[in-house]
Amino acid sequence: MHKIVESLNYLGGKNMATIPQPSERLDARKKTSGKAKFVADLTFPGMLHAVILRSPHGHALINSIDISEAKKISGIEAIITGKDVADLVINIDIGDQQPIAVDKVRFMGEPVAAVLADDKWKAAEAVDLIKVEYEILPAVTDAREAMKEDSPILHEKQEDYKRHGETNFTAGTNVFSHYKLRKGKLEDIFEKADLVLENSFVYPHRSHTQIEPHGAIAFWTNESEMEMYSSTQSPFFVRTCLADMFAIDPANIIVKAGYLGGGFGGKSDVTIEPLLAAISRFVPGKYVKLTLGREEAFTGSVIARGAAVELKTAVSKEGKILGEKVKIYFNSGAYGSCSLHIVTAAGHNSSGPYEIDNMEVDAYGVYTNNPPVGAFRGYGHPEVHWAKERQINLIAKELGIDPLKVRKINLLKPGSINALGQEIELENGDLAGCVDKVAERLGEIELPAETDNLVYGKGMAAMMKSPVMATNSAASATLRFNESGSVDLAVSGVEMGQGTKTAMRQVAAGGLELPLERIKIKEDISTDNSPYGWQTIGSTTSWKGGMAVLDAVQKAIDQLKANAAAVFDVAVTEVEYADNKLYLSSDPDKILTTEEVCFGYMRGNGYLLGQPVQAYGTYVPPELTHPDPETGQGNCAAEWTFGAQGVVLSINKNTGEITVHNLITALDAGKVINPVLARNQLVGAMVQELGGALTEELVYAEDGKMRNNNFTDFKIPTPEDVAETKMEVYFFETPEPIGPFGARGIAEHGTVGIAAAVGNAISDALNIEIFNLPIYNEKVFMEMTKAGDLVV
Amino acid sequence: MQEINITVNSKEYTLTVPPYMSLLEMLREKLNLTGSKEGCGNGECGACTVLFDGEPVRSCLVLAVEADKSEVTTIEGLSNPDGTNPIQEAFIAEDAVQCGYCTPGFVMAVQALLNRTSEPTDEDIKEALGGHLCRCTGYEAIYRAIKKLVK
Amino acid sequence: MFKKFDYYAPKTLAELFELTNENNEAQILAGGTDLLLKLREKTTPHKMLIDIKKLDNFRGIETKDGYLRMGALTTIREIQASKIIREKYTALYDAAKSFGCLEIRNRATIGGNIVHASPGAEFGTPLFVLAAEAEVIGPDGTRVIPIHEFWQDVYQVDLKDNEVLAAIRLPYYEKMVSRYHRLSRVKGMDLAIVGVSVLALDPANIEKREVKIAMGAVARIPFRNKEVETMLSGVKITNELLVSVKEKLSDSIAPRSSSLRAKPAYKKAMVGNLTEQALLELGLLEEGE
Repeated sequence: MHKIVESLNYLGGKNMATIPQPSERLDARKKTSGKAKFVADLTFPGMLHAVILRSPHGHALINSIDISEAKKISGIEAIITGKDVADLVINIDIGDQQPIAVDKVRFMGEPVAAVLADDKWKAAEAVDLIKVEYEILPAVTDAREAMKEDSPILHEKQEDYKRHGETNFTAGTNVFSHYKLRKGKLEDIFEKADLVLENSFVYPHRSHTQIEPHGAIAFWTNESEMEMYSSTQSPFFVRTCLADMFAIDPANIIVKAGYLGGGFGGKSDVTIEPLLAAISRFVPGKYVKLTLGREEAFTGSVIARGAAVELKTAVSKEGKILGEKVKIYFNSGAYGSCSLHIVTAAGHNSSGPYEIDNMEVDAYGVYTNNPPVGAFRGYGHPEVHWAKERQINLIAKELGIDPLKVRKINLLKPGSINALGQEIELENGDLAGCVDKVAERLGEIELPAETDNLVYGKGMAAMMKSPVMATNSAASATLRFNESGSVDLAVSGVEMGQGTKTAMRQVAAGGLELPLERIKIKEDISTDNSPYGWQTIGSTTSWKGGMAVLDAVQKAIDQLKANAAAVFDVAVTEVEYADNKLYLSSDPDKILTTEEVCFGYMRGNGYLLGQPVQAYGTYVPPELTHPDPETGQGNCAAEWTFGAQGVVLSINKNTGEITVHNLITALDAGKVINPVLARNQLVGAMVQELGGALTEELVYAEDGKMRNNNFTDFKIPTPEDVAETKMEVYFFETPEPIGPFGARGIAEHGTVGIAAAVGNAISDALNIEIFNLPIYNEKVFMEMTKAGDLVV
Repeated sequence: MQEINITVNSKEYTLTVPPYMSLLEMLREKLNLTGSKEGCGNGECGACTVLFDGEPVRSCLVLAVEADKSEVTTIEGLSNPDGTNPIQEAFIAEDAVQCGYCTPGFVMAVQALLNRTSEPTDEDIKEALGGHLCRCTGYEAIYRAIKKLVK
Repeated sequence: MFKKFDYYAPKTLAELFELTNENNEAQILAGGTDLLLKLREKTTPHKMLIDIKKLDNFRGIETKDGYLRMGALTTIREIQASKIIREKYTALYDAAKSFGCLEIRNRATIGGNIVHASPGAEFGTPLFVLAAEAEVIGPDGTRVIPIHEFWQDVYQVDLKDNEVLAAIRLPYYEKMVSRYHRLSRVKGMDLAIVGVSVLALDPANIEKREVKIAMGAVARIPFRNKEVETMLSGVKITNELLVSVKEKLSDSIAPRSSSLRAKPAYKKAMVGNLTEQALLELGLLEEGE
């Protein structure tokens, strides 16, 4: 399935186990001392502050806006309403959104007007004085409801929207995307099966709640040249979008991204940038800052994906899945671009890590009156795994066999054809090994004796993850030797806590065989002079970035060799590089150090041989295609990562309170570049998803208002929730042929199966079946005090 | 506008502030001490934690004018002259930092804990961290860093 | 970011009442952990804050004339640290311990929590079972009001525009035990889904024993169920009795269904279970039945 790319051939002979390890994360010292700067920390002389008036309604027509009172506040530089920027369209994939609503608002939090002032309190005061007359429309907040014929329609004229590429929408409805996957034939499989199990599962909307709310600062030199600092995971992608929106050349827009206070996908899509760019254009020559308050970050950026998943599974009495019909309803909120590909990703992965010969998958992206949905760590995978891995246990329960047996009989293995039609090879990783490891650990963990109050449960889930990305989604690196023999390195990809800069420096040091301290890596990104990178998403940054680094490493070594060959006066093929030295293959004692040739070699008379060594490396995952419109298949996933997860928990029978004792992940990471950072990524992801399993859910009123856009009532895990939890992470290392030193992506993977493992553990503890997340204490208590297995 | 006298990180200031300016805003916008972060403005995340007359508080829920004649210590004031601090070193050693936005608040909370007692119990540690949110680390490494400090 | 407002910090009571007399809409600022949150919202314009923290009149925990007096500015942290409160008024200590988080407890005050009068206020149920009294001071002098009369409705207490809550008084009984239990969605900082305080006077003497129960976050204000208190007082509390007590408690409340924190059915089930837990810890449940 994969081609081994050339940059790896060079490294083929090396000991892949020796990646130098730093004693600490590159940015740790700055971050623990308060010196690290985030966008909110930046300020510029004469900077203006933007405050946004947002819709309090989920769905309404804007009849009029009166800014006369607001204008009277002194210090106001500009008040901008939708009509002032009505010609601007945000067209990431679908041109369905505008930076400020013009005639109609479609979600609570949608911008309606903006005030720019020299002081944020004045701007806020003016915003409070703007009078908007709304005509409230009926709202819809559920995907399946929004697909009904009598549902309110959010976008009356979908067919009029400009699009980048094909999107399978149905005009006159709320369906803006329909991904279809067809593999084999279902025909009479349901009639012939020993067991047909139909269930519906819900994974609700969540919020990323990065502790840093979104922020950006814009400066227009003139109406066609702009510079922006933004808390974005995707500076180049923001640039592309803004250039498209203003119809100006991307080169005239500079987007800068430094440290991010958490991303998790919620800053990977274009969020506040088009809004800020549109309003700051009215005050050229002035910096304008927009930072969201927490409540605004909930409603005014993107929310985290969620879906309803319906499974109809045909199974033999041994537990072999014969065929499956899958329906996925993605509640995408008011605008579709940021979740379009999540719909596809969920469709791709709805099989779970299993070989299912006959499948029909229909995944719908549906408009609703919720804030637009965007990427969130896991990108469609946790939703379908919540359904699939619960379904596996429910099948096992029906058949009266061990769920582990059902998993193992169906697992993808070398030679299997996955849902996309790709053949799984040995080098895709040791899925069975991971499943066995988690099962083994769960078996080993001894539970205390149950009491009147406490009951214990264990649960597991198998998992797989693949990135979904543009077929031209490049990563790049520049590598430049300094006169001292040290190296300046820059790699695409934003540092948001995942540690990519630390890891990329290690990859370069490993490739060049240089000590780590000789490599200086640029930590921030500026689109005018940083190597190009599509987006910092999909657990691909260190994987693709690492490949780009190795490409640059190889090119730099080729240049070093050429310089040395000129000095030795031999053909370049006769020079070898090892251990920071260049030598003649025919005479290994003839040596030049890297320092001697990295800036070119100067003879006594000043004559320069060769040239300063500087290389540009790129990587684009090879041979990717869009899914076939009929079968949904194709080479749409560049790499797969397989694993398994487990949970041990106890439940207080008097209150339903859950305490999690163990969170376990086994993952085939290909090669672990930095064991400390890798483990901590997995732990962080597991706990983040534990929040999704137990407490996190955005709640909407019927009119579309979000009711819990704050930390008071959107509860994420606190330190005390995991104070007694033992975290276990096991890495397998089956090298990925197209990964740097064999490494795969790992950043999101800890999220994928946790919710299902929790659900399965609760089933194990109490013999109750829960289908809808989150499983908060109350739900457990109410369910266990009922008789029988009811949907909660 | 009101005039206040305040000691921040052992340095005395006389400042003119509007009554509706929070202590956090004063630190960040008047003194350019941007190490304390605003994560929620509601007292619920802990990123803005500073020591106020020696005790940890949420600086987003204190007015600058309330801090008149008070002493405030921020993350910038923790370092020894050589730029190190045992808490920071422990966080670094245990990799208890990812995005870093919540980190100053956690470090301040731990400083306050160690000011109260050099031998905190598990309960003391849980109490100290109870109102601090971190969305990246899953807290494991933070607990490890603290245990390392008190061992 | 807060909305704009004026701020005054009077140094004497005379100054305070001058301000309150002239500014009927002024808000009293104590710890600020409730009030300042409201100042972030557009919906509640506030023109003036009067900070009472420069006044000494409202501070301190002291025993006086047979009752314990807590100044309104007593912080939750001070309550948590008070030996006499932990030993004698344990329900209050329990509430302090589960209130917000350490940083909030350092600022928040008992007075602020009561005057805010939220249905789930942590200190509501302990003060109701402890038969607390509110000491209110105004230009015309001091009034002392039983807590259940002072606490009128959601966000509504018996304070005139120019009055300030000065202190909370707790009557002293020689033999008194109490506990407060609450549930929340996460184990860290969270508001109470539901809370119950149980108190017993003369706990060891079954005939004379008097039991009080108050429930929080189940009604507009903290709610004492007198019928259940009568059922539990002066008798052995058996498991059999407990079953009917739980039923009565559950039937006596009708929590609003729009709560984000828990549905009525769960609250109805939990008030009984929390009561049982408190009775058990107080040693009031008969064993072996």
